[in-house]
Amino acid sequence: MNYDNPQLRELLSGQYVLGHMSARARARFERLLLSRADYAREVTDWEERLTPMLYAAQPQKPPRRVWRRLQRRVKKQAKASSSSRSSRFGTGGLALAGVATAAFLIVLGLYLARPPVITPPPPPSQYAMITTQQGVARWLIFARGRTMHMHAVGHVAPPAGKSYELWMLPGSGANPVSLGLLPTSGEASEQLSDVMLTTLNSAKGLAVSVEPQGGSPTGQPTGAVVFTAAIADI
Amino acid sequence: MSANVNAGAEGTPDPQEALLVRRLAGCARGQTNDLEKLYAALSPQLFGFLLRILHRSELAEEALQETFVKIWRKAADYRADRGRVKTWIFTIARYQAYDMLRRGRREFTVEPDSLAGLLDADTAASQDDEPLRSLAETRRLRHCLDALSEQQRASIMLAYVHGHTQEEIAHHFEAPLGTVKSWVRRALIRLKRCLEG
Repeated sequence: MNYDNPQLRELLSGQYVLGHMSARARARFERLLLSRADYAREVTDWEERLTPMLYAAQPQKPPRRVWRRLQRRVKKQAKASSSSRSSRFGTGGLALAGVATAAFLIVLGLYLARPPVITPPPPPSQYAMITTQQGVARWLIFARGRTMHMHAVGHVAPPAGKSYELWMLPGSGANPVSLGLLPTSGEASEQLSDVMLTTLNSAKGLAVSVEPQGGSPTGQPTGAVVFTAAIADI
Repeated sequence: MSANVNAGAEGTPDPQEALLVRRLAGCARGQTNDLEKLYAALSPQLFGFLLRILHRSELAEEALQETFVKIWRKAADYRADRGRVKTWIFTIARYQAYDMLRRGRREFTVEPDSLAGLLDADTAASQDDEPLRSLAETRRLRHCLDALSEQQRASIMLAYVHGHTQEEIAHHFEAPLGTVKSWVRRALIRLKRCLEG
């Protein structure tokens, strides 16, 4: 496909904004958005073109209780984030602070935070991009419904006889929870249980460790933590 | 890049946009009074839209609350190149609403008149506090949607406003999926041409 064709760019971007892409096409398109500013701009332009449709509904004053609830949640969150800041990486044997220099945190921006809506899978709710210190993308991780998708960007080879294992770092400061082995190329997915889904929703971030081939024998990270990433939720 | 759409963001200063950006910057710094002002400014319009899609007040209230929690948490991620603040916020609300619809699918369906009334001139005109540019954009979009065939127009609106998939639209019209795909493709091309014409 010639992605430089302006009409193709308009069409694909419009279909993306409408949520009219198959899961595979969408994943491909989202990868394209990472590297093509012109496509990212076209997506924004389509949103700008179409949002006036949403402004046309008759305005209605929401009940006062919505603001009161919102205020409570925002205050609670502000408290939680200031009290957890010091302890977030302090447990579970993961000395993340030490790898901060080797890790690069990135939160995907709104281009990717605009999941299209497509039939079988509900829109993704959380994203993380794992990159090298130089900013080279290694894996794109997203949760869609109960499925966690892990896309390798190109070929990511672990050291001989080793595997890369993905962990989530629970917001509560509890031990890291394994999300499975990362693919060295292509895509892998993992079904999330209710408990894992809840943990993921409040997780502080993701980490990747080098483990013996096949994964950690103990259920906890045993090797070096080579990447960490923040989670951006939608 | 569509010059007409983004004229305000790039060229002539837009006081309303500048104010919204200031409020968002306040949210990013953790200022709840900025969130309150943003809420006061946009919640009636957002709530009207959410009610229109979700029909039930308790669902629209939940969606509105979730939308503002997200705005609060993501304020620091906003950049002008991701569109205007209002577009950014309505996009968050739109996906929030789809998400909730999908959880309870398909308890709610779209009544044909709610589609027809979506862009009524009188509802748009009733928003006295709406800046002129927004009103002009709504009218322009309406004009361009009116220029589409009925199926093309409905396909775009069902998808964008109500989060319907191509399969659902095909079902709605009892038309083959391939036909719906071509309606949408043609509609997108014609819309863009008309909006930029």
